[in-house]
Amino acid sequence: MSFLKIRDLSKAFGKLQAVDHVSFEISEGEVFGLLGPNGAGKSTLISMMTTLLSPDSGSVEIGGFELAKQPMEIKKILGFVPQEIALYPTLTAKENLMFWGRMYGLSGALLKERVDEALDIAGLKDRAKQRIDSYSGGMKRRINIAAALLHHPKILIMDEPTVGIDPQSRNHILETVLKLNREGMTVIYTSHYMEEVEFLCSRIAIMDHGKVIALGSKEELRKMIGNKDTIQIESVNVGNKVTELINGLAGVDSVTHSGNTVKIISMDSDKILAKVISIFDAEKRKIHSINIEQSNLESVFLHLTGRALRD
Amino acid sequence: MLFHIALKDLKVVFRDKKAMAIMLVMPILIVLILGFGLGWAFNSELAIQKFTLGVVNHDDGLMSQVFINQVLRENMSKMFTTFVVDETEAEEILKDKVVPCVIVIPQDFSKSIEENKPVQINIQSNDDGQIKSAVVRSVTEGFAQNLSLGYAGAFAASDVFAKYKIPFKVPIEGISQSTAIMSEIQKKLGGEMIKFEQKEQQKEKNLSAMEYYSAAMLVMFLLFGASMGTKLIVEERENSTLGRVMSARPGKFTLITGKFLGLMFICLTQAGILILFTRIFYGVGWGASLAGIFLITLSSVFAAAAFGMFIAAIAKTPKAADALSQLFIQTFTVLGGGMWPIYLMPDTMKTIARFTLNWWAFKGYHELMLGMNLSTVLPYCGILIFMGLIYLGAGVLRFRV
Ligand SMILES: Nc1ncnc2c1ncn2[C@@H]1O[C@H](COP(=O)(O)OP(=O)(O)OP(=O)(O)O)[C@@H](O)[C@H]1O
Ligand SMILES: [Mg+2]
Repeated sequence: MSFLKIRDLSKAFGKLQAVDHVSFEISEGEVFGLLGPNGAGKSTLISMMTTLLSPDSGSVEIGGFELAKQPMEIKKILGFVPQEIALYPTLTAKENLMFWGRMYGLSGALLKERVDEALDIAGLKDRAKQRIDSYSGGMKRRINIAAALLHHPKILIMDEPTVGIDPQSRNHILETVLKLNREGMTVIYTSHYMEEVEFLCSRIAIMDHGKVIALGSKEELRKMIGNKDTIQIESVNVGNKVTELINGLAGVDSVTHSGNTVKIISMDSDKILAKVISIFDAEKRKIHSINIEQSNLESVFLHLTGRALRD
Repeated sequence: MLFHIALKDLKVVFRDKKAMAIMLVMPILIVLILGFGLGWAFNSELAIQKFTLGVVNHDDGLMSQVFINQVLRENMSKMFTTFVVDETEAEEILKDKVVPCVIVIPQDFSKSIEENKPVQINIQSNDDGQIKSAVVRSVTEGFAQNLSLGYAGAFAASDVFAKYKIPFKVPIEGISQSTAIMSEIQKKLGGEMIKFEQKEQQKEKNLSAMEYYSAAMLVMFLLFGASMGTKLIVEERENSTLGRVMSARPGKFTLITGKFLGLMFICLTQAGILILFTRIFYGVGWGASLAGIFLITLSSVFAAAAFGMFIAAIAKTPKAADALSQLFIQTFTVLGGGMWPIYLMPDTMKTIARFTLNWWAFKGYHELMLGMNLSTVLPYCGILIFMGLIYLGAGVLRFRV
């Protein structure tokens, strides 16, 4: 039985089709990744799941409830972490959490208990009485997540919860998501950091221009591009000449370069590596480093769209 | 939940030092500066220049003659010139704005006074005459009241004379003894009592620069208060807290109502503080009608908050919200009498000013200060609430999360 079903969901802003006939299902207890570049339509898709936007067409079903018919039932079991830090900067962390708890219908002793629990999860109990605007980016993000957990939701939808934070807070957040999931929470995790999605998610949907262009487990997605590898070469003054020559080699799927880095996607990195190096030699470009990676989601995206996930 | 949304906004604004400076400290300072600096504009001569008054007399008794000739023409000659006219003439001169107001003395005026019954003197005024007619009304009411009191005394005296057979010569054939006694009392006391009325008037006018600007600045800064809340709402749209509220339990209706209520809480608290402060520290008399002050405040706050919702709905960024609010508030304030005394404004401007909420809110406060009561300001409250509903309707229709 799937816990969340999205069928044919669409939303346009004027002429821009932000979400274009998206369908997928998620089972209970999954961590589902939503990966895509800026403007892919991830936030728009999430806004429809969280009642903030009404879809132009299609339906959403969560926990057995139709969103169009029983939005309140869905709100009760859904926690939402917005992409922005949706907190009141001049209120303290505790005041913020008290407010959000009330917005989820909590009051009295239960509210206090849940606020303490949320502060614990965020690891910020000792700074509860400080104003949010005195917090670091990472601490704000942690409270931003904690505020979505107050009503013990069954499903947590996180829209890029780790943008612009320090590694320590990032690890804290990733660990928290895994822990919540082990305790039974279903999670939708949106990001354009593919490392995070690879680390956390059992299944992943890749979005681009409002459409889901690939969906499956990490292994399934990798198979789609035939287990291709990425060769990354650091050099100087890489020009179009070099990339053209490499592109002409048999066994090379695609070549891109940005700055001093050349990225080569290939089925068989062992065979072409020597040839690639000789091209650099012939063109008198010094190689600083070579890095060979087993194919990852980034290369899947590159393969599917011909563009990099992040510029 | 509604109240928690509104109270949260109140808390956020009152924790913001800059907002407090704009909402409370600035108006208090400006009133102080303008109140002293522009005091001259409110000295009696300029504030209420000598004007012409029409009287329609339906009464053929003695008392109306006393009232017209002694009180209006003699005692109040510094204030206004009085003409006796008939009804049709009265209508014309009112319409053509030859006079700001006309006193209509009813048929049974003398009789009512002699019989110690309450008298109804009707004062009709055109749009220009609101404040002047307030002066005329207080003079007239003062006269009628004193006269009735005097008559009660005269009746008693007449009884006593009769009982102890004290001879009392009626000066003119055909009038009753009590009337004769009354006119004696009137001669001795009437002038004094009217003078007292005049003194009260004078005192009020000297205070009114402070009062005028207290009312004008209250109205203007209520709008600034609302604009503080407006900016918060637009900021909340940007940082997704509005969306987050809606993803929790409240629906769009609760969210919008909560935000509007928040704006009202903010403005109401601000108005309360400013009124009390100017009352206590500047001695501003906001009028005797507490109910009137409360209702005009509530209606003004409603209109100001609705205006805030309107700006919140059309502004895309907090900066745009600020700029839009500034533009509207300054226009409204210049038109609505916040910058110079309304009576010095040209007529066309007065007409345009009627479309601003400032005009009606200010008019309400000002007339309460001049001693008018609840029923005078009730229509203004209606207009303010009507304006508020229009702003609110437009705002709610365009409100995005
Ligand atoms: N309210 C709106 N009005 C008009 N266009 C919008 C609106 N919201 C989003 N868009 C547009 O829809 C497209 C999808 O935006 P969306 O925010 O869903 O992308 P995203 O995948 O979340 O991107 P990001 O990684 O930058 O958050 C973008 O082109 C965006 O400009
Ligand atoms: Mg987004």
